Amino acid sequence: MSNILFRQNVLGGLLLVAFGVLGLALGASLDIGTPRRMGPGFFPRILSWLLIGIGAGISLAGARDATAERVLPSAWRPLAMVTIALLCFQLLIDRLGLVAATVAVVGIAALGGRDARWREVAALAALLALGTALLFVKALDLPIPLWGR
Amino acid sequence: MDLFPDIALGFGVAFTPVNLLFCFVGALLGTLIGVLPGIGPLGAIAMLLPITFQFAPVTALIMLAGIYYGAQYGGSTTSILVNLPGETSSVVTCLDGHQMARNGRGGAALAIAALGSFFAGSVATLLIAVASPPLAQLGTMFQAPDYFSLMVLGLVGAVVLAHGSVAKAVGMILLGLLLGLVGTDLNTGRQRYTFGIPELSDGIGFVTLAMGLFGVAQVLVNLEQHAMPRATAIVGSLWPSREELRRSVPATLRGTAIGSLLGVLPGGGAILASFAAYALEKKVSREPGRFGRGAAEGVAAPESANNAGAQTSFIPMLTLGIPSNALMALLVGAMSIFGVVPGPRIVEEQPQLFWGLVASMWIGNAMLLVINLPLIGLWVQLLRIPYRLLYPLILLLCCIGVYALNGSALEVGLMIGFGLLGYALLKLGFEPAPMLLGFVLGPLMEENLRRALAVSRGDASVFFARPISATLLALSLLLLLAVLLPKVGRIRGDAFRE
Repeated sequence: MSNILFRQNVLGGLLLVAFGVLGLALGASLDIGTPRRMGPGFFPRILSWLLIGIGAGISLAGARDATAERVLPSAWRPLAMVTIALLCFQLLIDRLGLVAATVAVVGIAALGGRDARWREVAALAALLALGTALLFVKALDLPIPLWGR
Repeated sequence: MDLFPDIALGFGVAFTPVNLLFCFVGALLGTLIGVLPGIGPLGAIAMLLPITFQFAPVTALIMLAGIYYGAQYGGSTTSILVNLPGETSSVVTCLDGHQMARNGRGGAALAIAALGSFFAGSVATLLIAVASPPLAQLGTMFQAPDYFSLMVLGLVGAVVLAHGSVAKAVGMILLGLLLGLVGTDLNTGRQRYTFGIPELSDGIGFVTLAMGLFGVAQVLVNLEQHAMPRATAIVGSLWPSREELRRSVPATLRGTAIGSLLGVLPGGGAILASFAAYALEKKVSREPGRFGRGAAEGVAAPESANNAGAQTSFIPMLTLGIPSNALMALLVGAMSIFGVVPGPRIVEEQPQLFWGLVASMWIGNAMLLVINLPLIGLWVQLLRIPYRLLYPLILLLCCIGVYALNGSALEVGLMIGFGLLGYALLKLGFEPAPMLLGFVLGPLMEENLRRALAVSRGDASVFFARPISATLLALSLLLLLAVLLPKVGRIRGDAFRE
């Protein structure tokens, strides 16, 4: 069973079905209205049902295709490290500012690669911290805190 | 029709120092992105968007357009020299371009590609100038049902012409349409799918979605794959031989024609144009066996076609306000950030913006010729930059861009979510580009459906009663039926397998 579930199209179709179901469930309180006076729930419901339909179709067709390969991430490390790096940016940018966030992103993201060299990463972090500060904050004057608020 | 004053106005706008500078910067950055593997033009434009936030709209658009066609040029350089397409529309150029490089004719292949692209770009720019005003005129006759049907045709076109499974492309478009509805319902003010998050009440940020799907997700997929292939670059003389020129000229003409045509079609654009042009050259050639072994026409045709298609896909976007592919959807989103609404009235109401952009395209193409040929050594050097230095930069630019949009760290979190979604979709064999198209069209489609049905008192036959709408729907149906026919389906499969 789990073999079938992890086939590319079976899982892909189910993902679409899930979005369709989510669309219906979260939009359950939205008024449908009539075709003449479409409510806010009219179009979302059409789309959700279509998503469920096409997703189910893809899944069923995928389940019958015995030659399909199973999909799973072949490496968890890049996925985890990149996600953590980006989360750090989200958490640090308002508190500590662009420079700290840049160093965090570059340093943690480097852990996701296969061939990080520490001196190189440090140099890259310093260079990018300086470069982004000069370009985005000084030259382009975008509303980004350099050192936190 | 009197084109001259309009074009003069356009050049007047495009030749101001600021606009010239950013046209150049855009073309240069585009080439850079095109050369570097692992960043496509979609991700690049999304990433570089924040640089333009403080610009005047016309300057910003000139630069973004420059990035787009610059990427077409840059992509061909890596295809030819290292057999590595910098982006999808130059995949076919690898076939003969890299063979030419191996035969010591790399320089000639680059020159043919650049000159062909320049010619195609010039013709396509002229075409935009000539075709847009009448098309915009036609556009003013469009009413709600017609717009709805036009969008249906556009989405059907995107499905049919996308590579891979039709059902999966439909799924992506539906998901995009649904995501496009997140936010405040324009008609009633009701919040839809916002979970009480204030950032979502204006809808999902379109930059946030694009950067997640095309920036972060692509980095995740690239990091999982093993070392990127490298090959030695052989440039050689830049001058094509007489024989190569003789073969390239007609191929360039055919490529330009087919590219210009396919660029205008809904769902078309640079990628399809290059595949179709290569297939056509193989068909009309007296010695098809030469293809794949370094045929000059196998470089000239797809390269001119992808550039022509890249340019002419601006036509439906600028005149009807309907993006024909994901990249144009991205530009529509960018324009909306600057408060510019593309549509039939843009030509008349904002002539400076429209003609300035058109004129800048021609200037940009001329600049690209200079950027590409003499500086080829520099671009080859850039290819040596390892990916481990690039991806932290890409991630960082995505974060900064999303944050700078409205100073909200939460947007970064949303981007992470879309990045993970995009990664999952790529792993599951979905192509996320049609999703972006659906996302931009979602609210427009709903609004026009609502208006059409309100006017007709809920009678759906209005879509078949109006001639424009009926024609567009009939075309969509034909297109759908055609792709379901096994024979046409096979041809479509072949075209993308090349």
